[in-house]
Amino acid sequence: MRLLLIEDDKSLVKRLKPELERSGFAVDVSHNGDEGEYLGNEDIYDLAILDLGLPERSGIDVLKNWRQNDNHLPVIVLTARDAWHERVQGFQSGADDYLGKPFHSEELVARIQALLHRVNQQPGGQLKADGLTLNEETQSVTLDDGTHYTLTNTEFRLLRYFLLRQDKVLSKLELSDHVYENDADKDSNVIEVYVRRLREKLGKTRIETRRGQGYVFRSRLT
Amino acid sequence: MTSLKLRLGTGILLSISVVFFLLWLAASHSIRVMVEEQMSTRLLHDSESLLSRLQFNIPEQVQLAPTSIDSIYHRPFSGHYFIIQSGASTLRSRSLWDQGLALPTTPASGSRQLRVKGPQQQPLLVVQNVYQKQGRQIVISVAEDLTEIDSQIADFRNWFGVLALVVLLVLVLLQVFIVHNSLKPLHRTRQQIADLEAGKRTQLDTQVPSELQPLVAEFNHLLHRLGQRLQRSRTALGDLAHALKKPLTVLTQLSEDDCIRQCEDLQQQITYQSGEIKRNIDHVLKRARLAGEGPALAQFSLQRDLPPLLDTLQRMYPDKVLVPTLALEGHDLMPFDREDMMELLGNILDNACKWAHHQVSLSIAIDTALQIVVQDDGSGIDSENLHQLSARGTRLDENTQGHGLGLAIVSDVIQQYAGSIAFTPSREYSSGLRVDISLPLKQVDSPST
Repeated sequence: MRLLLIEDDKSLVKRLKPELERSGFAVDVSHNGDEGEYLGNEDIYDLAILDLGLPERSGIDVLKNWRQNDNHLPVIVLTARDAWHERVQGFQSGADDYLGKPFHSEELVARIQALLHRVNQQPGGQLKADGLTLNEETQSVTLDDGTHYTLTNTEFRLLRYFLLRQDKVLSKLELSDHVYENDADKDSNVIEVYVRRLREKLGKTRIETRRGQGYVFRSRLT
Repeated sequence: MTSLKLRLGTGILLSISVVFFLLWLAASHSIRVMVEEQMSTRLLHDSESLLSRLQFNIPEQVQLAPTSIDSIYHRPFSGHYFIIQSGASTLRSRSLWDQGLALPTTPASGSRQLRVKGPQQQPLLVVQNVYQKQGRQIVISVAEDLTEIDSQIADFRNWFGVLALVVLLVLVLLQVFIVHNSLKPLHRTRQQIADLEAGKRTQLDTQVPSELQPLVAEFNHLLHRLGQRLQRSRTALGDLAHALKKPLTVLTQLSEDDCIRQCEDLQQQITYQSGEIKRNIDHVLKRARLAGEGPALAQFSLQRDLPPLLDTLQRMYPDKVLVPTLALEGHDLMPFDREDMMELLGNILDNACKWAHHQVSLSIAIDTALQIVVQDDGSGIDSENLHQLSARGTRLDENTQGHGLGLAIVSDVIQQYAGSIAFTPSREYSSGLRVDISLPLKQVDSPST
């Protein structure tokens, strides 16, 4: 899952970015509203974390512009102004969730996960597919036969993306877009390596290869 | 201080009445003077024609040529009389019959008018003239009855009086109407002030008479200043919150740093203290921000502000069902500040949604107060804690984020508007909490006309 963090407070970003990456998110950062709005229209992000008090363009304006242009990017608003009338205004402008500052990273991560599950129609606490359960906290996967694997960060990112997009054809490019941040060295072969590793753990039939198109993660094993 | 209307009314009524009385007096007087003037002129003519017909056939004896006298002087008590005196002899008109006239002593010369009582108690106007003819002094007194004239004048005075009263009445009614109309702007301004109090408007209308203009302008100016000051202090507080929360946010993140994580006690301390700071900032800022009564910046509108709030809560808790029951009966604008009410409803509903398993019900009704009832189907609170909650309105569970602070804000808002809050077990759901909030709608008395 690739996140866009639009926040002008650099000392906060310095703390928050590694925290989010540790939780298995690829994070791109923008420090002002103008750039943030532009990046949000790129169609490679799964979710945006938007501060409202931004230089150049206020967070509310960024949000309104996105929604006016039919950009339905899920947005968590991050703000020190968390009075109820401001919160209502935020939601009315198109926010999907609202988090008042200061906050704990765990709280933000929990909100991000809940929102991602919601927009991808994966209700309930944990991400599941037929025969396996992903634990996002411990970044581990449990199969129905009781086998338990701890995943590396990249494996976890990849599996989570598969689980949120079950039964859809996902190209290598799309996968690397959503697993790595902007400045990462993208090599489509790396995706192949990680798919192979997942197959070793989850079984060969789970991830199907569509030649020339990409991969499909199957929700049911038949 | 009596009302302007009453003072204007009595003043105008008194002055018009005095004017009409004087007018009536002058008219009756002048009509009498005019009539008597005319009558005396005629009597003088009669007297002169009598003089021309006087004969002195016998010395010491005056006589009139018999044919030449107007017959009215022959008919007994006709109301027209004369008496001619010359030396010792006196000649009376036949109309006098045998009676004389009680005339005062004859003057030496000239002419005068007198009023005397004649025969049959007739009031008479007498014109007495002294002439010299053929070396003799002749006094001719001609009299006419005033009865008829007096009654005509009395009639005139009565009619004039009645007419004057009618005109007076019409004028009074007209004046009441005019005063009422001229004071209308005052009434309107008063109504607008009541509207201000109720928060239905933010400024007074400046389309007022010039006398009222400075007052209204000054009033508006003060209102504007008050609004600005409120807005400024709110903005300043918001900025302060922002400024304080920035480093606090970083501090909160720092406490999760690996170095600090290794020292568990230290981390707990930092987390607890920064949490306390956040709570304090939030509480103080929100309390200072609460507008309270008076001309509000923006009023809470049930129709405008409630749906977005419910929509927001629904988005925050997509798996809970919010059931609103509104009995508004056409009410919309409430005399409460919009932000205060958002804070109140938002917090109380947020709490209910947090604790509910599936459903939260909100009911709003209006009688003499705004009655808000929020119930949830959560696990409820045991009776001891319930009592504590009602008594202090303070936080029970500090672990659920925002819960304690929310209730403190709620009780601040309620206190501000002299309302009440009660916590009881839910009646709608088998378990859960019911919160009753009542905010009195300040009775804006409609100004009497």
